[in-house]
Amino acid sequence: MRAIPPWYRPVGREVELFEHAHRQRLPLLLAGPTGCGKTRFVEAMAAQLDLPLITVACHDETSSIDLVGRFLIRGAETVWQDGPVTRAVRAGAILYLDEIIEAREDVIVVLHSLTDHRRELYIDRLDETLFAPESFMVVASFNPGYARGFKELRPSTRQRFVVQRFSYPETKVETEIVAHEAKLENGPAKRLVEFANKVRAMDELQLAETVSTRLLVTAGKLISSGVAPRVACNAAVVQPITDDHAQLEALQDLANLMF
Amino acid sequence: MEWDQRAFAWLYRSFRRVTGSGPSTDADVSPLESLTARFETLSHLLTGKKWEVVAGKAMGGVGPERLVLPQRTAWLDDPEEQASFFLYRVVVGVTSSELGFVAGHDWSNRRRALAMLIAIPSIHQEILARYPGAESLVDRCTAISSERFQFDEQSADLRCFSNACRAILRADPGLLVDTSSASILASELVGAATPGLSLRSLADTSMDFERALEKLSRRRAVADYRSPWGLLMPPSIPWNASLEPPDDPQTNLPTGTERKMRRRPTDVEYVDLESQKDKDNPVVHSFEKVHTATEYQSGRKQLDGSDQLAEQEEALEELELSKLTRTSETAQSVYRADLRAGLHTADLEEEQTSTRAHRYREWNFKRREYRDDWCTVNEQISPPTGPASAVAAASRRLHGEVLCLQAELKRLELERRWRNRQLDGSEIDIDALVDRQATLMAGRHPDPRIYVRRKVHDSELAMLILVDASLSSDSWVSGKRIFDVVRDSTQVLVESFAPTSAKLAIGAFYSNTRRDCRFLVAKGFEDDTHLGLQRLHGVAPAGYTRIGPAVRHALEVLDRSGARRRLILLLTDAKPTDYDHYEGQYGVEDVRQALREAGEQGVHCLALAVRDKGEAYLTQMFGPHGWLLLPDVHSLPGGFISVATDFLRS
Repeated sequence: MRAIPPWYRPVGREVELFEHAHRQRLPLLLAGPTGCGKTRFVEAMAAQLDLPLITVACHDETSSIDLVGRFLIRGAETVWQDGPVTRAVRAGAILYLDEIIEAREDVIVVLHSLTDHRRELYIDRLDETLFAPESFMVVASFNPGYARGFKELRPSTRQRFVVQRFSYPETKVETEIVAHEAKLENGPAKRLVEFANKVRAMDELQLAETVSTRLLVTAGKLISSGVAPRVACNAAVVQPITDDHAQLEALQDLANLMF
Repeated sequence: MEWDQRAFAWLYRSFRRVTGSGPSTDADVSPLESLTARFETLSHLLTGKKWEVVAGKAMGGVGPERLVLPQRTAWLDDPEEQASFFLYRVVVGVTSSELGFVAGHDWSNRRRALAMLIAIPSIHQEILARYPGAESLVDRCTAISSERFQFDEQSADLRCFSNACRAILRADPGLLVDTSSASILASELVGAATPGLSLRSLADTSMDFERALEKLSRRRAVADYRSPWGLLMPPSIPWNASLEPPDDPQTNLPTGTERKMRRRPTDVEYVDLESQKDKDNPVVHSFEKVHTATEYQSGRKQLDGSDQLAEQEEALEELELSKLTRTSETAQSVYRADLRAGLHTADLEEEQTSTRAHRYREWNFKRREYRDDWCTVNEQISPPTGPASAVAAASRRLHGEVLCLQAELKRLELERRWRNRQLDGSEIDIDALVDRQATLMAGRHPDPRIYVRRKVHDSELAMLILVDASLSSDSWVSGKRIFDVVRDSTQVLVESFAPTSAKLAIGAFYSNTRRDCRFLVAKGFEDDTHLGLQRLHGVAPAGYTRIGPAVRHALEVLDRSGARRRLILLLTDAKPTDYDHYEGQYGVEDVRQALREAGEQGVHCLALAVRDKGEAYLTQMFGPHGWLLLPDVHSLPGGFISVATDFLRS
């Protein structure tokens, strides 16, 4: 049974780009701040193309074995277990590498042969080469904002990808998104977005990450479930973004003025 | 001082006590100080522009990008009411500026107060339209003000003014029942103060009313027009910044006797010299009062232990800073006295051949912004070496500590690299597997932990030991010279890390104002260890402790290592000082900001503070887990491991 596709509100021509990249068998890199809808977009596209989606959350300790597969002991037997990348290749799925920048460069190199014209995966432990079916596609996401240190994607990796940049949508679209996701009236949704825009406009706050659409949706959900807007704004938007006392108070003042 | 002078001073002081116009004392410190940062951020958020919030005399006022809030709010006793009132004033201020209400430079204070009064209904209307949540705030503050605000009603024009204030506050012209001419004017004022005012009509109306008031009162002198909203102020004079001292004065001296002068020029009148130009009598600057103060400053302390602080304070109080003049004429001659006496040390005067200058910004916590290109760090690549014998002697003496630290490092390394018998892992643990098979054969339940987890990729570690070589490290802590402890600790660290793959560098720093911060690279990442230590023994303490630029430059040096895990280890007495105001909260905040920058670049910082007891500001600078007291070198191995374990394991 086909699941209900997740709701996604296109903000630019990203849907078109995704479809063409898939048709041309090109890997796609989604760059954008946290909570702007990258993952939701991939989910929606997988549903639209009717392909399985295999997600890998990359982190510091991710090894190539984690991605490709390993031997396990089962009873007295040694059994091979496919890793997510191998599974995605075999199934012709969309492989989504979330926060690809968190994985070590030498792990990413495993993917190189999959992301260029070869579209193959060599599994050294099995001495087997897998060829990706037509429907297979690699999508990766990364957040250029808070990359720890100077961690950047190696050019040899980055240049394999078609890049789609995301940012927070414009007021009208974002209001629509917040209203839909949080099942909220248009008025308070718009006010939430205006609040966010004021905070986003102020670079001097030196926030690690500014107010995301996700935070607004969270606040919106609290409001529509009956929490007072000021309280919701404080708990779901103000508190998650800063610990600085003066900033907390100023942001709360702003929320109090707007709601 | 002669007896008549004394008598006059006594009379004057008594008079001031009675009139209460003296400087505020700590007892009635305005709560505003702690709220400034909050309100500056809020007004920035509301308008998208940077605002300055300052405490002012009387009821303050608002000008473009500048909010002057009343310092004394004695008529508001509840702190919460005070905070609400300030918040209200902030919102009123930014909104009036957004509406474009600005006073002209040539307006009198009376007219500025009137203009604000007339503009208030429009401002209220705009506030409610923009910020639906502000309704209760506006209502509450209007109620508070009309109830508690003390109107001074000695003269007819003031009575008229305060009647109008009250009527506008309560939106009730019925309050103006009196039929005197003052009240008639006030009721007209209430009528004029209708919502939807433009800047032009504001200017015209306020001028009309000012003329009417002038006729009414027939007094030229303008009394203190106090309204809850203060004055509408003109755009700030572009060189307004020079009103403030060029560098932020220190705010908390260790002596605790310093008191900040609370009087600041907030409503500065602008005098245009061009219009009064007189070719025959060119303007000369007169700083009589300043002279008085400096004379006192350079005076001698009395042998009986008394001082002239009170007189100096008076002199400063009398300084009239509220008139500013500007002219395009250049000064004919300039006296300039840059005192540098006694601050040179032999080391600083030496001609440095292999230095490179780097410019760094510095954090000004008061304005919460960077001062770009503020500090110049001169990097000296290969400083002169000390005696090799000293290094060898220290090496023998510190052998125990080195062995101890090496053992700890080894333990950590093993712990980090291999983990046997894990539930999950990349490899199969052959030993565990054999055990498991044997257990199974024996018919018992086997241990499921049969994998090996391994850090496959050992990431490179680069560590920069940042040595504080300022003159303050020449002092003694619990019977040991600080710099000796610092140097010995560095040697222990360097020798302990030598067998590992970690890259190590040693930098020493001291400063002599922001223009001359020194950074000696005793050991670069590729330099020989022994040579590095020898150079460290050649460093003699000098200058001051400006930690911020040293950390910023250390980041630059670390960047050259290309390593993934990077650590700055700061060995210092942890007292940021330099004689151009780099001290107290300013220094602490700059260090904190520099460490924040390091964090953003993925560089970990740890501080080993060579002192016998901790202080709250160490945590402020380095974070709760970012520092450790290092009373002597023997506590180094255990101490270093305890603060660095998490980092070394990562």
